[in-house]
Parts: sequence; C-alpha cells; structure tokens
Amino acid sequence: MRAQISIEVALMMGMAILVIVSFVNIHFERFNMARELGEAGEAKMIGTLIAGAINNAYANGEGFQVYLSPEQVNFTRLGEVEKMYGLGVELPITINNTAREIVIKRNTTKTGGGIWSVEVPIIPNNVVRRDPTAEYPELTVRNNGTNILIYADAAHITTVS
Amino acid sequence: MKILKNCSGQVSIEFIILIGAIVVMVVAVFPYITRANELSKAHAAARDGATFAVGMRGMGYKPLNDKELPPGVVKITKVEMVKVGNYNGLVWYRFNISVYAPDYIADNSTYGQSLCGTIINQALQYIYYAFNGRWSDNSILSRVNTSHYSFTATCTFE
Repeated sequence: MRAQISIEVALMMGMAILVIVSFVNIHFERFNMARELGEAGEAKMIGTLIAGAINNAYANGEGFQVYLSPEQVNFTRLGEVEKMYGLGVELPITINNTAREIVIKRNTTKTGGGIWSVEVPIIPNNVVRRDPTAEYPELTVRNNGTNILIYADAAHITTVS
Repeated sequence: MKILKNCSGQVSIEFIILIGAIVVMVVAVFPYITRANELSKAHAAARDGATFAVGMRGMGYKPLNDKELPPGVVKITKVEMVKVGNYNGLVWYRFNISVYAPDYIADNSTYGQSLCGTIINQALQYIYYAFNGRWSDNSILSRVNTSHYSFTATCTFE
C-alpha cells in the first residue's frame, strides 16, 4: 500500500489543477495591469518633472538653468523594451510649443492596452531643443533670454511648433 | 498465516461504494463547476480591465484619437454581471460597470462617452485575454464569446 493515493485525492487534485490553471491568465493580466499602471505613473511623473524645469527656467528669467540628472530622468529605463511585455514610453518625448504641452505616449499594445498618451501643460511656447554639450549635459533646461533651451538627444526629446 | 497473507491489498465493499458515489458526484457536477469557473473568471477579468482603464484615465492618459478628460477622481464602484438571454446559442451575460466621476465629466456627454468607451473596451479586452491567452487583434471590442457564454458590457455613472 506504500506510495499510493486514493482515487478521491487524484480526482480532487485534478480539479484543483484545472481551476488553478484556468486562472493563470488572470494572474498575468493582474501582473501586467499593476506594472503598466506603475509605469504609466512614472512616465507622467517624468513629464511633470520636465515641465517643472521648463516652467522654472521660464519664470526665473535669463541665465537661469535647471539640470535633471540621469537618475531623475532615465531615458534608457523609460524606453526599455527587453524586460517588459509592453513597449514602455515612446521616445522621443514631444514638446508641443503651439499647444504648450509635453506629450508622453505609452505603447501598451502587448499588454492589451493600446497606445495611450498624456499631456502635461507648460507655460512657455518657445522651447528649443539643443544637442547636449560638455557645458550643458543632458538634461539641462536653460533660459537664454530669447528661448528656453532644452539640451537633450534628438532620440529622447523633440520639439514641435 | 497463509490465509492472512492473501487478504492483503484488498478494500472493503463499503469503500468501493463510497468511491463510486464520489466519482459519480464529481462527474455530475463537473460541467457546473466548469461553467461557474468560466463566469467567475470573466467577472474577475472584467473588473481588472475596468480598473486598468480607470487608472489610466484617472492619471490623465487617453487612448489615441480620444478625448482628454479634465483632471478628477474616477473610480469603479460596482461591476455587476447580469444574465440577458441568449446570443447565437451562447448564454449572454452583460457586465454593468458603475463608475463614479465628477459631474463635469459624468454630465458631459463627450467626456462621459469617451471614459465609458475606454472602460468597456478594456474590460472586454481583459476578458478576451483571460479566455484566449493572447490579446485581441481588434483594438475595439463590443462582445467576447467563450465556449459557453457571450459577454458584453455597459457603463453608467453613479
């Protein structure tokens, strides 16, 4: 009689496995949902951070500059695709001067959500992108008296009028 | 001693009858369990999808080519499953999703329809995934059919 199990146990285990397996997809959905919402919040926060820097540079006048370090705005992490089922933030982030807003798009087509976008309002309508330099590394926002210059790689941030 | 040895490995007739009765009961209720499981899975998926949609819209996100909502607290308050009837030989259930939103969203037909459309679509997308193990190729869903059921969804503001 050793190493034997009763037929009831086998049946019950079979049914339990059936029920558990049927909820595997639900588990992955919830996992994706939690992560997507977290990532979406993070992406919007980055938009708010950049908008804050632009508004500060605008409000404080010529010569004022704000530096956002890679720890604060990590473009590699934002657009990361390999470790995610989704596609992260669609780079470059667009600064729309006409609408006075920063547009952030998130591609969640691989997790059933489609493409979502959020607009973060900014005050100025004269934001110009420049390539980063040794003096002004990515991501520096500077008021040169005429425009609000944002030093960022073209693959990370773009401006439209 | 020899007689006792031959008795090993046997079970009583009561035990066999008991097992038989259990097997009959399990086989009899199996279809009901499968269907009940299907319904509870759909209900859970609909709630998840609606919650995801509300979370995204509440944060200010909008699907492409959709209306942006003004800032405000948006919440799912209830997801009811109502039996409607039959649809193409399947039992038709509808999820009535109740949503709380500020008046300037709920009373504005443009914002209201946009928000409800997102919630309904996302709930159905999640139901589709729960039963198919992959996301739908259609970006907009109005109905999801499973082996026994057909699911739709509506959205109302509280």
